[in-house]
Amino acid sequence: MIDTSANIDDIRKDALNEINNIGAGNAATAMAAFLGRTIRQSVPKVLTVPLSDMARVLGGADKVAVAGLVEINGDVSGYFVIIQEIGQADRIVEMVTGEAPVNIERMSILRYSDFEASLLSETVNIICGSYITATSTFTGLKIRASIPYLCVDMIGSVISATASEIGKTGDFALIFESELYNDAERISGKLILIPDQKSCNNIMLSIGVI
Amino acid sequence: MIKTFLSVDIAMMKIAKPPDQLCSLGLGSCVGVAVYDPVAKIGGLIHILLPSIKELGPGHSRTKFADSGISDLVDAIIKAGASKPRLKAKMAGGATMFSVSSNSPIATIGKRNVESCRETLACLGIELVAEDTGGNSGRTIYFDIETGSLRIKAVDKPEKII
Repeated sequence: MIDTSANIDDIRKDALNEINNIGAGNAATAMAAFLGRTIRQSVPKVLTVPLSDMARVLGGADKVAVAGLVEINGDVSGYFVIIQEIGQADRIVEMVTGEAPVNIERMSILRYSDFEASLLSETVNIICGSYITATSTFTGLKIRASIPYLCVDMIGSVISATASEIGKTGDFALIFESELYNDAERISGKLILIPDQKSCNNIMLSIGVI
Repeated sequence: MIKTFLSVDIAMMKIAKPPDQLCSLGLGSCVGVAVYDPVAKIGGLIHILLPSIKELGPGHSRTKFADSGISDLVDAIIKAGASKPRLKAKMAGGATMFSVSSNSPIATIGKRNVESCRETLACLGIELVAEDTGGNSGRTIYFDIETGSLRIKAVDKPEKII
């Protein structure tokens, strides 16, 4: 029986790990179809990270990355953020178009043409969508997702608005670490799920944890 | 003397004296507020996440917010030997990184942070001598306490000093 808060935390973590597992599996399958290649997933992990440490865990506050953001609402509301290293995003562009991005010397969104940016948005859509479906299937909760938004900038800066949202309810972020690989190449990075407090409770209630 | 850069992460504040410099890496909607005494050469930097502690109530760390955080920073600088009438402030940050729909809270957070920082500084009677805020790019800032200059780096843009 659940009788201590430590136990509850372990059980919560297990539940989130399971969502992460299903989500990463779905994402690997969907990305394999999108890229026409075999995609493997790493063993997913769920990390609880203090806000001040978030940027470091995601790769470094001033390191430039490609970030995707999806707003979610319904029974669960919050945000999905996915952080991809520039090199990974470039590889995805190459896998689809057969060529390197148009402005390889630029380190902002201008690095990518409209078409390249939209295909990177599509990967955000696919990966976040896989997680949303996983969460929804696992919990039976209804979740709607916004269109994907893309931003190329320093990791600290792209996560700061979502860190503010987390900061309203607590001092820790949940980070889903699940990497997708094509052969030995890593093609996708870390994902942050940012449910608000009410949504967290909804998820836990729906699977009978609280 | 060896110059050390002290990094001020999300919801943190630090106080230092030359030759040490203070920096915040990758500010987005967050705001970095530097407060300093140009005569005593004491300076502090805070990395603000949210506008006001009043919206959320107790139980939160005070340095997350513009109102409570800046006020604590000023107290700490005075305690370290600065004189309140000589204090000046500079700030940078408050960008909007994602072009989300305008009714989303993350669309306006940068702007609200900047406004609250301005109001708090005005309330405390501290002159805001320069700022580089808003826009759609992240910023990394380095604050040189010796000269009071704030160096701002953004990707794909020339460096700026205010």
